[in-house]
Amino acid sequence: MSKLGQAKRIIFLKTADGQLFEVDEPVAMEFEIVKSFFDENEDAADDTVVPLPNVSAEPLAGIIEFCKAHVEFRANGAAGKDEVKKFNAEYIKEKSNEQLKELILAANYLNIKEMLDFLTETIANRLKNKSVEYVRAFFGIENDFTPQEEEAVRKEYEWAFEGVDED
Amino acid sequence: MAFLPQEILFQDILPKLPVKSICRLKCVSKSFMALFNDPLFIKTHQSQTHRDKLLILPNSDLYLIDPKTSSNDEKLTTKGLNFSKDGSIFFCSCNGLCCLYVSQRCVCFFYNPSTRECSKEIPIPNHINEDKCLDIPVVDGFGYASYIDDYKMVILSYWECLTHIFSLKNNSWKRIHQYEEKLLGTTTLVNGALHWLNYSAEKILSIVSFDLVEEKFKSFPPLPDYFQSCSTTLYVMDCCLCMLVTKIWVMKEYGVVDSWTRILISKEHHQKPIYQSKYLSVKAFREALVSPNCYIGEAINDS
Repeated sequence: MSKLGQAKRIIFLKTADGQLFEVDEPVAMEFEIVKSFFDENEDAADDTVVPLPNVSAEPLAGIIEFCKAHVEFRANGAAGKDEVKKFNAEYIKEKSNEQLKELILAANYLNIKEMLDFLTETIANRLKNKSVEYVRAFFGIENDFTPQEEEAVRKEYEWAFEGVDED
Repeated sequence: MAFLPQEILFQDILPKLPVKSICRLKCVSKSFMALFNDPLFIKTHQSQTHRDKLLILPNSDLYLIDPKTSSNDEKLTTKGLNFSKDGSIFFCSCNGLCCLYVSQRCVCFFYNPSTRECSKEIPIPNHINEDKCLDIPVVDGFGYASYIDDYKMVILSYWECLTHIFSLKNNSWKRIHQYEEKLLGTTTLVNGALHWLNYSAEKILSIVSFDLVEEKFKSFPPLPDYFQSCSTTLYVMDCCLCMLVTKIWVMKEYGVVDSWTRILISKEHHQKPIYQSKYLSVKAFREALVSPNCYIGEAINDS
């Protein structure tokens, strides 16, 4: 419900898997890609459906939840305060690494800088104490060192291998 | 399983990792290794991560303390750093790079405690030392000038009426005339210039700067009256004020008196309180990947 009681505009978004989302305008405008769509098509009808061919319904729902909360925090002057940190921690707690990756891909496509920053920070935090093997598997990276080369690098940074989490 | 594009990985995720993780992940692949050694990545990393640490030198060992966790101090293996037990060591830091001076042997090193990378020994010209008593810090300032992408170390030699400047990039010394008054105490690096608090002959407190690009001294107008009676030395660390008053205290929330928090130091140090240690030095520095050897050539081998 709009606080000012004005008729609020709804933006229609259609995902790659064909789901239609109805999103409040201020939340949809957090997505740079949606904002530029309307900037470029100023005379777009109110019921225009914006196609999002690179995003499926599950991550989009997650993104809307996050952006909606953050738009409200800003409106209430709570940006940067503890309740935001609490919300962010709660938001990320139950998300698997796979869900996080999907969210990052979607946030990147929709071009939401603040959320992308938060998500990539979360990934960095989850990875900082992980083993080399874990990180390779996580990002799908092939080891192109010879065993001798790898051993030499490991030896050079031996101290950095202390205190690594179990995979 | 979804994989993230390299662009997100290289630009948004990896620059957010601590230096220790980055050193470990150098052996993920050749592209990781190349990225982590890329000067552009090193700069991006520096601007994105702000992890401040304290480097403590109670005797001949180096300890790293993270004020955020404040409980586990890490002893650094000072490979290549040839500290003798009774030589006093003085150091300054800038951008995560420390400049260490070993008085007994009249040499200095450039050392990054985060990557544990160390430069070769740089001998201090003999004539400078005749002015300096062995236990007095000899390096007066150390700083980075982004305009010329160079680190410079400054030594004031009153005996010779000269200021000696060492450029890491050129790996060479240069001499200029000294400042008209004797500058004392620690320097603060701002804007590519080192700054001293200086009492003039008339006991007026003002700031004197030394521009690392132009290599020139400049005197600022006297400080306002209300600063004239101040005598505090402060560190700036992670936007927190830090003071060393027999223990290390951090003002965790800026301006909140109740937030002064004592940093815990492990048992080993308690047995020998750090303020009693003759050669104690404590420096705050910001964790970074910067390599001394990018500037002055080959690293020394571990032995």
